[in-house]
Amino acid sequence: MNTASLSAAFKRVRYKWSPRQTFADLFSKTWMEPAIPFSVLVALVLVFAATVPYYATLGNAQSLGRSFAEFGFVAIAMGLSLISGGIDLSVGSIFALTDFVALVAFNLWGLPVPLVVLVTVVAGGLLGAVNGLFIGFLRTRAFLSTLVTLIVYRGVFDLLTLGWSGQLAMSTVSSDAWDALAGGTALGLPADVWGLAIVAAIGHILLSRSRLGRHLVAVGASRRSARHAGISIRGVLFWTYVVSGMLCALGAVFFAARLSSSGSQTGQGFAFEALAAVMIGGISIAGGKGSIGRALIGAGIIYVLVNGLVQLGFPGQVTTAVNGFILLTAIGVDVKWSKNRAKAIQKSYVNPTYLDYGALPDTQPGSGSPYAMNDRLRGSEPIGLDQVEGPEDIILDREGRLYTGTRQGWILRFSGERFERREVFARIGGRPLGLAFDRDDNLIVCAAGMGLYGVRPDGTVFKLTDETNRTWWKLVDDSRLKLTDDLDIAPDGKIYFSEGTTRYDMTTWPVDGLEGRGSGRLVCYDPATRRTRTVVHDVRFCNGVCLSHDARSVLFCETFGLRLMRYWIEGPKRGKVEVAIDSLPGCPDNINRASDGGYWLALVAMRAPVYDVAMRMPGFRMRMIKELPFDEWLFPGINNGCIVKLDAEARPVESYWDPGGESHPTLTSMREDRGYLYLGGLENNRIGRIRLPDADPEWTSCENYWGKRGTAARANG
Amino acid sequence: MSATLDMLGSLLFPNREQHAIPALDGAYSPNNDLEELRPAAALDAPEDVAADGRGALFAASGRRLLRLAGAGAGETRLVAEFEQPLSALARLADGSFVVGLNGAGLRHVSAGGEALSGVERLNGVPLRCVTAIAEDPQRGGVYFTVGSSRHDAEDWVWDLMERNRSGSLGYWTLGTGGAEPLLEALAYPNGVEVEDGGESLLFTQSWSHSLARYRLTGGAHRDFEPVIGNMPGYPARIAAASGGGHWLAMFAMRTQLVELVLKERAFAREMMASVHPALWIRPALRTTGSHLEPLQGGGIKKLGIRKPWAPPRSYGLVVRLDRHCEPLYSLHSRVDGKNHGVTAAREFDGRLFVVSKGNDRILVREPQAQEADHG
Repeated sequence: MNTASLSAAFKRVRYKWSPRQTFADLFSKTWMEPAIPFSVLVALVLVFAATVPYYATLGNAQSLGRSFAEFGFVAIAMGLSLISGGIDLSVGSIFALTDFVALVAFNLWGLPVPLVVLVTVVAGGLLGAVNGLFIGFLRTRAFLSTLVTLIVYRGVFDLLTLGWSGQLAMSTVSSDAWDALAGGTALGLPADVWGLAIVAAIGHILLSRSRLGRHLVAVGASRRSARHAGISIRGVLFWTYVVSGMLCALGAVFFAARLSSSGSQTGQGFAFEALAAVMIGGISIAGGKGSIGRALIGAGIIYVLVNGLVQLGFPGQVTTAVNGFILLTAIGVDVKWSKNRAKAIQKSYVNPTYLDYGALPDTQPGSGSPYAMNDRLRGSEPIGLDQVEGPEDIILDREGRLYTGTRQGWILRFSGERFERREVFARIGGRPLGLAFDRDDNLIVCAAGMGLYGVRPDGTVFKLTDETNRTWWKLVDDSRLKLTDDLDIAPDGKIYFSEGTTRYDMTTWPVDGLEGRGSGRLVCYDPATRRTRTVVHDVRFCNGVCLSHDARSVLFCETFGLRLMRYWIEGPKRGKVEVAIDSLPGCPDNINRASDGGYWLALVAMRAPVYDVAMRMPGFRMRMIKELPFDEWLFPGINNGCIVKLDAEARPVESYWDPGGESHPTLTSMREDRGYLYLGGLENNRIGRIRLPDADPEWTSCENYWGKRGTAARANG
Repeated sequence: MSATLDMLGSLLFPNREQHAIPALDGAYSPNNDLEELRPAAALDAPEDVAADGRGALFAASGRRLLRLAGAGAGETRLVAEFEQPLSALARLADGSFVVGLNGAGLRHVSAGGEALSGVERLNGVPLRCVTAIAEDPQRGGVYFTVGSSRHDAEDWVWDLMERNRSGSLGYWTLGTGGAEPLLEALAYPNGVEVEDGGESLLFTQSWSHSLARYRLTGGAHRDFEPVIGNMPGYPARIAAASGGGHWLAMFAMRTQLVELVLKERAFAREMMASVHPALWIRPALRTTGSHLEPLQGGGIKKLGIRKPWAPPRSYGLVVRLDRHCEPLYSLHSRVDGKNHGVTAAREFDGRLFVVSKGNDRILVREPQAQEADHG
């Protein structure tokens, strides 16, 4: 192997998979953002399990879980206030105060445990309601209001503990329920973890599925839009802070039960830690984005990190500094990422690959090659000149009327001696491309952007399918049909149709050619079961489809792979795909049957030698796509008309050319009918036809597929 | 790599000169004036024209120097035939000619076509690519531009793709065997005009898309002075216009794709190594429409129409400059036209002769009623 082919092989491997594309696909998923902090959490746990002695034991896990749950409640409270577009700095102080309330209620007032919980939660709700009143009804800034309540509540708490701590310490009240709250476990999990899990589950459903939850997100995302939508902002904000206070109180109950004492350090710094937690979890400080799950993941990271560092023997100052650093990083990432996410996905969407098209077949006139250039299409007779815009595919019915789809989304019908009568047969919408008649003379249409549609002989439109099965190994949901391109119908009624690419649409398909990766597919729709399924994947622009004359295989074109492929639907090779023609001199588009048992193949664009070089240089194409506007991009030779005649075994025999595309540039399709070959073009302003002197003057495609019209069909029609 | 450098450069030097291709507006606003000109003669590969002031026109066409009586309308007579295609032509005041030959230096021939003398080297390097010649009215010699010291004139596109700066400006005292260089390491000088009765020279550089002045009389001024930079096309020959000012021919337009290829060295090398030059991504004198030529997105025929504003592989452009070398207006043959690849535009007796090498035509523009020089 010489250096050149070695480097080619290297390039082929290097560009076979694209991490950038995976990145783009991954980050377009909404579940991807919490996935990153979650993996950080898992990694942290693994690291500490490996470095801290006895970390990975049940006892440690239970003790971790206990104190984590208390922090978890506070994190959810903080998360909710952030999602609502505000912030609740007083969570730590409310936590401390309600802890005190719980202790007093249990130890001094001797209330039963359920009542203690109720009293504490109500107290938390009242404390939160003060915040809610200020922020929701008096419209004060959340940051300042909760900062004030943080200081006030802390002051009250300090005063109260000063006066009551003695009495609390002397209390001897005990209760099994209270101890169960503190140390009980069920299924190995501590009681407070259960409490958190239940609250989180309810909270998640409320936030993501309930009216109040949606209102909360709406207010956080855009207060003005929410108001215009009729949402009561005051009420939503008020209740947000009430719930925030209640959540802190819940955490405090468990804290009180566990420690049974109240120190001045209680809840100190919780606001800061909770803020860092929810932000690292991916809840945006800008509001309107986040979930309970994210809050808990973030809380887990902070908690595990702080706890792990403590267990490793680092002093408190270090953990505080680490916390600060995390908060700083989270804020930075939050601002930059939420602003640039869409841009980053878009910028890494297109990823050209290495493609070696092989030797360019000879097209010199007189070369004896089946592709030798001539001017046999130059004298074509125009039909519907300037009356049709973009007849991508054409077809004739039993009466010899000519149908075509246009860029307006119409199906046009030309009739009369010289096709001088033009009428709009149907308005489907989308971009009608491939056409075929079924057994009942319905015109089946591939409408790009919509799916597979049909038109009855009276011109009414019906949908056949617009979805196929999702490819399970792909990140992106590709079940919706986008660029349906061409079709053909098997004798059993199954419709085989192509989708050019699943990544681009009618306006951006050239990018698919320059990318050269191939995301097209051949799909089968079975009218009997009404089921649609993909039969061939990853085609480099799946285009023309034609059932072989013996109906045992489907021929389909791989436009940007420059190949004609065969998919077996019957016989020993059933389900297999093989290459029928490799290295064509141009990009194959549509393929249709010929009267002599062979096929007609349209080449929409010809390969230029420079284009072949560019296809071997993915980096060049990438920079070209990025740096230059569409009009400046390098294209294969589309301004050319070329049709290749194939024999019964789909081998090329001869060609029909319109060099320079004087009448037929972007020649995408042809259809033989009664001794004429009709020509269509994706971007053309006409249909053309040439006489085929040697062809069967009686042959029509409809009769070839469905036989002479029987009485039964007529009765149906 | 180059993209990274570009980005770094734009960060470090935000005010540096930008080389975006200027849009065709103002004096460069497109029209069809060049496309609509009457052809004066159809010749094979015309390169340049000259006149004798009595109605006869001389044209360099392939290997032949032709005399076209009646400004092309009358019979054509062969003045001289050379062993190589002509790459430049000048008629001197005494009626003799100096021609540049592709790959073979400069030749001085009499009015009747007999060879008088020649020079084949400049600074010891073979003169392979003489692109333009202008007579010095004071000393009787000629100034000439040499596009490249590495390629023949016919292989100019190699010089572009290799991004060479090996051209020079020289002076030849007729009859002597040696020519002297005035300026070297130029980016394909491709046209020269003597200004102010021999005080200074105006010359074009195709690869730097610029026009510059070279002062022959020293003094306080610098010898070399840029006049126009970053033009939208590749300038070719420049000639004096009546009433002051100049005619500047552009043989092709710059396109973003060509500029990208010039930057993408690996691609350019691979293209040069494996593809015939006629089929490169490049500026060209004509577009053949062959399916083997590269096509750009804007060039796709839609509804039977090729857009005239598509990225031009070839183009026809003549620019009228005023006496301060500010562009006044221009004549265009756009992408859908044919009069492309203009190598020279010269005015004789008020009539403008435009050499469209791409379309094998010499075109003539009759004197305009309002040919005002606003300079």
